[in-house]
Amino acid sequence: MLTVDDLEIGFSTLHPLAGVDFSVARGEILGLVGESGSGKSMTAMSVMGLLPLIGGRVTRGSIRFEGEELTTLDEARYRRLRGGRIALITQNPMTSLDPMVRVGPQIDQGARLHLGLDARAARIRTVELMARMRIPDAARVYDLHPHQLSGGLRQRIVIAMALAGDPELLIADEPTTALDVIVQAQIVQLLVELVRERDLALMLITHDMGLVAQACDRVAVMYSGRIVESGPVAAIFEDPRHPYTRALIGCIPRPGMAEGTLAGIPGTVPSIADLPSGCRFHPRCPMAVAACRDRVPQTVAVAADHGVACLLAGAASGDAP
Amino acid sequence: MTPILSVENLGHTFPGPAGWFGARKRFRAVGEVDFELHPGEILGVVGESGCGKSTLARLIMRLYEPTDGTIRFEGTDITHLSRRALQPLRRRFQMVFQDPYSSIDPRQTIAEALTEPFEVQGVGLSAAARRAEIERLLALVALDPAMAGSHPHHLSGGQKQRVGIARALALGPRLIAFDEPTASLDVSVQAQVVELLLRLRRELDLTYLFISHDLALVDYLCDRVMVMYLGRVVEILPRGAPPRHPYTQALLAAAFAPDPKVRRHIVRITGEIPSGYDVPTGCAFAARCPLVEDTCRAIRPALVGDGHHAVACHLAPPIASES
Repeated sequence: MLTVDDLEIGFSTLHPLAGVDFSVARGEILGLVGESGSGKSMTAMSVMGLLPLIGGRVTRGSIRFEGEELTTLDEARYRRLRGGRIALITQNPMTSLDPMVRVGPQIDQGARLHLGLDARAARIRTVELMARMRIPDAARVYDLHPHQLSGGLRQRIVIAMALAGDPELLIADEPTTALDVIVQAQIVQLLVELVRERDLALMLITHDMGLVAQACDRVAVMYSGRIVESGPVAAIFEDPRHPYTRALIGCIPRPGMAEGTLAGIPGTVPSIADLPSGCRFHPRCPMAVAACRDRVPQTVAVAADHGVACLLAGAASGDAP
Repeated sequence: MTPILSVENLGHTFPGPAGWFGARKRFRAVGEVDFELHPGEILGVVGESGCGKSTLARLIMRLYEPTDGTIRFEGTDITHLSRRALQPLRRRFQMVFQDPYSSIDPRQTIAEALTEPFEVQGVGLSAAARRAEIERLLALVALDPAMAGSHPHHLSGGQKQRVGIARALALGPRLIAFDEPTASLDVSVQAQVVELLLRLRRELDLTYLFISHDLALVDYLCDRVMVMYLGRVVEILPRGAPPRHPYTQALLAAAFAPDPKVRRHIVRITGEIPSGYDVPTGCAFAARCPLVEDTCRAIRPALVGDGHHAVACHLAPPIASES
């Protein structure tokens, strides 16, 4: 449904994304993971066609949605897609909601704009959608303002807004980060159900490997503007091949782990103004060899649908880094 | 062994906004909290936002005035000590906050931030002693001594949090309360900070009160975990013990296990935490509890247990049956 191929974007001379490849199929949940500064949200902005808004542009590669090239799409046609067939759910519901407008009419907009419903029909549809989001007493909540709702309810409203235009592709950028654990689990459960029942494609952007393990079908691990590893969720967790993927997994505490075994990753994601040569992970990589400094690793397939961009990927797998 | 901290029946009620007819609604943030913290122990405090865990830490640190109960620090009742009487004791208990960006003055150099506690406490340091202290503190938290002259905006989030920890260590405390110290950090950095905290506890013989909403993290770091709901303790359990309170069980079930083979998509808990303005008469969790019975709505369950594991639930099997 969505295929991103060798995507590079530029802000004047800087390139926050340098060759991003991934795809999401209908009915599939793809997790896009990595530390802050790895380019996850930039990827979402690119797919949504919002780069010009922040002064960026696509400098290379393609983004294809149902066969249609998006990188060359004009703004008028992008507007019809955005909020319609492609919808975005952001981390902080308060940035997506207008504090002055009742929540119901905010959801109506999508159906009126993209499905051409009249006010009455849109309202009926909105209340149904809200009920599907398990918002109790939806008809009453329709008339409330965002500040009258809890964080969990607001995020449900934002999801309802995203669904209002009947999207085929949903991009969720850290949709549960600001929420409490139980509410987080409720929202994730809801998103998974929606993907299954509506046969949506969901691109789930997160830094939480636990969320990835619980919700995603496939995973793309991002580091410093590149996808370093991608594959089915089971392969990524059971047989991670890229040292960065292994390091990320090693950062999560698990039951029964002994003191001193939480590895962490020394250093930080490089600034886009000062990128290392070769493999961008090499300064932090415990396995780096001289060649990693000179050569940009190409993505190689290590198994069916499991790709790794690491010069050492052919080396024995499963070893602790 | 004398507890380093003992808290009895601690409570705090914030005055709410004035009502239309002069009646002020009161916001009960924390109530009837009892626990002891032993030297060298790490006690985790978990719960959803609004459960009172941060208020509890601020009460213990005497940043808020408790409205009920007693706090004893190393045997001394500090519940209502005056600012002046508290001042010398403050060297011995310190707090580290979540946001490393707002806890350091952006105009200060790291060296100034690290020596401020000495000035506040009126500890005069010679230029040489000051340099030595800065070097010692930076080394403790594994920061480059060359950072002393930098300003906070030159530091990464993890480095800033290390400075926050170093500053809390300056006066040689016994007890440190951490309020979500890694919540705004990347997992890669969080892991390093957590290992640093474990090393510091070992090397400096420290005791921690560690507030977090991250159960996996608390389970890794803490010796015991205290679970709060709507201002009250619903369970205190040793690390790894099976939870007995339905709320603790729900929290655990909702935590995302980093393993695609153990998927738990069934969340049996609905709704969100109620407001502290309307504390129910019975069990505070009754409205969301999947096991709720009539008794739960009528009578608030007391926290009962054996000093290791205690639970406040009418329906939890008695602790004695645990072996």
